[in-house]
Amino acid sequence: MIRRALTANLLRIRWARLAIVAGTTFFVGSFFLAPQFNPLASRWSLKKTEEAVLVSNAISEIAYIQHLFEPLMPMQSVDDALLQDLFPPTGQPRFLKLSITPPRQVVLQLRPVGDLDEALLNDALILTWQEDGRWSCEQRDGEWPDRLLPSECRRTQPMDAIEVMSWMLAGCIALLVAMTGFLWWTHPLVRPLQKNPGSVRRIPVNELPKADRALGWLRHRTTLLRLADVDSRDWVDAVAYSSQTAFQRSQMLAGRLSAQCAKTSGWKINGETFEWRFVHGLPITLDRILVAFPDRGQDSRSLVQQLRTLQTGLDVMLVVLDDPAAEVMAYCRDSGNMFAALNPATQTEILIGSDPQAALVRMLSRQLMLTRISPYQTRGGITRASGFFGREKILHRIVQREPANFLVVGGRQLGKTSLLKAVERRLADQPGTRCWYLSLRDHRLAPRLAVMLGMEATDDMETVLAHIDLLSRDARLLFLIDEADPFMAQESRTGFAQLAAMRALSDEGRCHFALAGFWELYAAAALDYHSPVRNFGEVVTIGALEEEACRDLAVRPLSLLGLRFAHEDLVARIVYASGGRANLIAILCQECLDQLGRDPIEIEAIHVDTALRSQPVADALSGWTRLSGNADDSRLDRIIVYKATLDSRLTLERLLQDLTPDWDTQQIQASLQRLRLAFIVTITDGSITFAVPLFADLMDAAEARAYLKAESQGG
Amino acid sequence: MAGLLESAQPVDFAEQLQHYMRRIRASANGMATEIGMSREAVNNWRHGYSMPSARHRHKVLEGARYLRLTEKETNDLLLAAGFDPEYVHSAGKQASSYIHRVFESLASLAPYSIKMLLSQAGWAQPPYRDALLEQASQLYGSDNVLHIQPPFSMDTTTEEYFQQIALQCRLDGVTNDFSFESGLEGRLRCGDRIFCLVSRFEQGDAVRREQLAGILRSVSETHAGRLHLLLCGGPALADLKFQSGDLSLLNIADLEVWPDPGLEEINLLAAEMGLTEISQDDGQWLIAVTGGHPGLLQQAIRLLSSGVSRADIAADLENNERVWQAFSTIAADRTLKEQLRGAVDDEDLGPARPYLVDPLKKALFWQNLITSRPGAAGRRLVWRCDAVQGAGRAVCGG
Repeated sequence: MIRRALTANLLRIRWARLAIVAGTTFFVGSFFLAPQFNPLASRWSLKKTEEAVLVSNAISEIAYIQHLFEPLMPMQSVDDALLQDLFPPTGQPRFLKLSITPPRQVVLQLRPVGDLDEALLNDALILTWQEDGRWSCEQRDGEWPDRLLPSECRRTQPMDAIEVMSWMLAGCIALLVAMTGFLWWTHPLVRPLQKNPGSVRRIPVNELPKADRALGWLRHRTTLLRLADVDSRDWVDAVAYSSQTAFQRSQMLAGRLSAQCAKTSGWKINGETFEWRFVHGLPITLDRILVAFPDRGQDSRSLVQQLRTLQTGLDVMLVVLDDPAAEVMAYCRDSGNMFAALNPATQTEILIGSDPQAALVRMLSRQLMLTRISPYQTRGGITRASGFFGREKILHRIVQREPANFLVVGGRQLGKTSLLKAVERRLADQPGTRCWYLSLRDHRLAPRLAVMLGMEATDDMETVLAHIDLLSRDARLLFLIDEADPFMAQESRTGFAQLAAMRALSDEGRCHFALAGFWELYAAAALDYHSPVRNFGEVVTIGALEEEACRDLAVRPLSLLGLRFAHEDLVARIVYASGGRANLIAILCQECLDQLGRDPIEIEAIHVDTALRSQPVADALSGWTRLSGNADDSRLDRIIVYKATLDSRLTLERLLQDLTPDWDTQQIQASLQRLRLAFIVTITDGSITFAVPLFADLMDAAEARAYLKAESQGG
Repeated sequence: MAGLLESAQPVDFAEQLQHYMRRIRASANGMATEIGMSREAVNNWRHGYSMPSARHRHKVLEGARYLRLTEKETNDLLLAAGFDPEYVHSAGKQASSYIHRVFESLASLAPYSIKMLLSQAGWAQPPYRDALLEQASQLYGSDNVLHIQPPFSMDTTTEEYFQQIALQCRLDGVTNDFSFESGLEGRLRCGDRIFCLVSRFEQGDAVRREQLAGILRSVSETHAGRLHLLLCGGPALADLKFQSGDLSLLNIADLEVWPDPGLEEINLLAAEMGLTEISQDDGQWLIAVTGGHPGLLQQAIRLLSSGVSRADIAADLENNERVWQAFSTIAADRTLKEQLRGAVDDEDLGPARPYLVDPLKKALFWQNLITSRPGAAGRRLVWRCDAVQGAGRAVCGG
């Protein structure tokens, strides 16, 4: 009922407005073009017409009198008798009183009479015939209008038709320019664009049709869109957006955000709801969002009441608003709930902006808990392209060069999986290439490959490779096999039979493999001289991230949320403390983010201090005590770490002295290599130090002493 | 004790044992081997010829694990045998607000929403399980909630192990680990986001457990963001994350230890025991005097509601059966007993670490005798409360 009444009111308002516009147009247009139809001008026009007739008659009479007197020019004088002859009583001028004052020669004194008195000055015009054959004019008081004077006496010469038209044209142009200028300077939508064309991306979406008309009228649309770097097709779509249905609008927005849009139901809200799935990932930890398009014209208080009763669970609900009503905005800005309002300006930014996802993320960061929408991925392989930084040289080696096998080795959480996933992403769109990612959970590679390729899990490696051989005829094949250590350990026990078959296939150029793992893989590839893995592929060691990439990893995700570090030194401190380990940088930044209160802008030193001492950081640095499946090897690793904790100036020479002859040199060498690969220690000029300064800070000397004693006794 | 007994409504111990053994077709011999008792002793219990003695509480507890009893069933069995219950908050739909935070935290871990929720002794794995599943159904939809309880038996074959788990997950046609993995992937591919709770993860065969962990990790990686996984367990689960040298199966999981109880949990506990609400002043005193140890809390709440004075309660707590039993288990190892003797008078037991390597600290922590509390230089390990420390002194002195 309310809705109907509102619609009726809107229609009435619309018709009333149209009527006013039409009436005004008619009034102004008829005033200039057809005054006889104009209610005001017609009265004035009538009066003017009568006057014009009088004036016209008077002019005719002057011309006639002039013409009549011209033959008398040689006469010495003109008297009343002559006047009587020329103008018998029936032929007297009707509108002028003509008198001749003797003895002057051909001097005509004209005075308006009758109705003309009201229109013209009550003054006499004296016309005197000059010797040069022209009339001269003289007025005693006041001035006769030019239009009544004989042409010789006019103060200004009348314009001809071309001049008149030219002036009219010039006037019109001047008027147009003036109006354009006026519109440009005063139009609330257009004026800001003059200073900043980019602000077109923040015009509320429902104002876009108006802005589009104004820009079109001003002939500025193309230039402005070019300056603002807005695609004209996007602009056309955005202008049409407001007139679309909720489903169409949702699809348009989702399309711009690279999301899949599906209608959902069952939500108690007056309007339509959808679900957006971000299949290619948002740069934050949200993989889907619920989106509500409340009915237009809905009362904001009632909308807030509906939102209060909605249970969105773990999902964020985006409320798309036509009108950013204060009450709804205030409710959505409360970071305690899971609602965020998408105002009309941000809708425009999504529709025509160069980075729609960034616009959405900035808006979400202002309305939700930062911990819910973190841009940092602190665990596991990086799945979002926006979260992967650096390693460009390695990626180039794997993706761009001639197809080859690779062995990606490195400790846990150093970025092996992230690298493989980055390779997978880059090859996904490459024509003629097919790429598979497989994470092993035990030594059984053949059944996993079989299941992945749609075969039976019982198929053996020979059958699987035969199938791969068939597939290779259509495309270049690359298999990315993660967590390959158990497979490699099993292979070393069984004489590398499966690996030899894989190598034979890759040698023929049928397909290639990138195996990622840690010690078992490295040992087989680098330490065992007789191992066929030695020449299986190029060894790529994953260590610290490049310094610039470290800084990008710390700073760029923050900037997505509109945040920053208070000082550049804080970034340097994080990068140094992490030793360039990507996951540690992400965890430290995440810990800083978790401490920020409402409406934060900057991360301060105190946040970084707390982050460096946080539990998740300690957690990430744990788990180093068993780097090898061999208990003795792991014990030696621990002994070296405890010794490095107790002696910050530990040298290789000193270590060898301490550990031999209990441990042979080869064991010590392998242990050091393992610790280096795991990114726990570095050896520079014979000096052994911790690769991650934070790791050194977390080690407790008293604990290390006790553990070292226990480990030594254990031997 | 009365309130607790009334609320639990135990039936005869022998009847219960007989019922649970028949349920999984367990033989007296099998159970006896599993819990380290004679076949005759088990037969005597199940036929009602004798009851477990006071020193065999832990044997009954091991038996309950072997029989794959839920936390509530375990509590009922212990009560029927005349022992204190082992777990608190094992049933009921009422949840502490911590449960809500668990789900929020799980969502924020995207794209790998894997959390390990570890419980020290005395807490169920997980506590408030029914409430947790109830809330999961509200958040994910009941069709999208899977509850896995790994089979306890060590004799189960890989095929049987995954067939049983597949039944719990309502997956058809599962014959082995590969088909279980394919079935789970199929669910994730065509359906909505799935929440999977794995209760008492660490029970059963270690090899199968690692296989299950491997499958869950592999599926999580392949279908990032689709599987929300909550693994609940204790020390063996922590070992799997930190000690597994060959495989980094759960290194992407977030780890959290069930927090110490606050006033809210104390009131829930009192309600579970059929007692009236605890005042704020009493609640704070209870937290201080018990250090948040669930067994001590139960005892102290019971005594407090019986009108026993605070001084008497504090003295009585030093003789808590479960605390003594925990210390006795540790002291059974001569090396650990020596180390314990050296540590029992220390106020500060060193820095708290995500994973405790030291065998004594590790044992004390998982037996819920020590805890981690914030100090000036980060978190430190300290005794839970004076009563625990006093019991430790007494055990070492004895």
